[in-house]
Amino acid sequence: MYMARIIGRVEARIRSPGLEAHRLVLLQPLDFNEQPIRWSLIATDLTGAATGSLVAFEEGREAANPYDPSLPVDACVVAVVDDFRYHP
Amino acid sequence: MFTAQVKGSVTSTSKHASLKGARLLIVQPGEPLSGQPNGFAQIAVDVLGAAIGAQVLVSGDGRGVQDMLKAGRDCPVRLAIVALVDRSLSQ
Repeated sequence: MYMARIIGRVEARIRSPGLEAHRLVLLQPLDFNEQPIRWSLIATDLTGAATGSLVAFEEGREAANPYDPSLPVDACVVAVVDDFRYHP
Repeated sequence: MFTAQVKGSVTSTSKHASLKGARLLIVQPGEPLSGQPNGFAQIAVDVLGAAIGAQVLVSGDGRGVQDMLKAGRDCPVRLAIVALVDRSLSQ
């Protein structure tokens, strides 16, 4: 999982079946100095965290695991980060 | 799988149910022989009790994590520490 900040969300009226009810959040992946890394991406969100929140998101097949029936998603916010201790 | 050094930990109360009680560590990927960092730091599940600063083996296999955490198929985790490295040898 990478850490990220929720920097917004995506609205899309026409979606794949099953994806309608899910919030699409815009994520900026971060390192543990809270500096941006990689490119921003869009994920579904299990936590309902607010924009600006620090979260952890998972990618790949496992990101779709929480959804039954499965959804065509490859990134999903799985945790809100309360705190982290980083010793570079 | 890749080797990494444990650089810290993350606490989270609001998370997917399968992560309840799971230890979340910050792992910095690095070259096995030189230890040279070679990727972005990430968060991995740990059930082996790796200490801060330890060199570990990290795997991205979700099924394995589900067994590790005794979690169901809905567990959305991929990255986990699967071994504590004693040392890496070049031959």
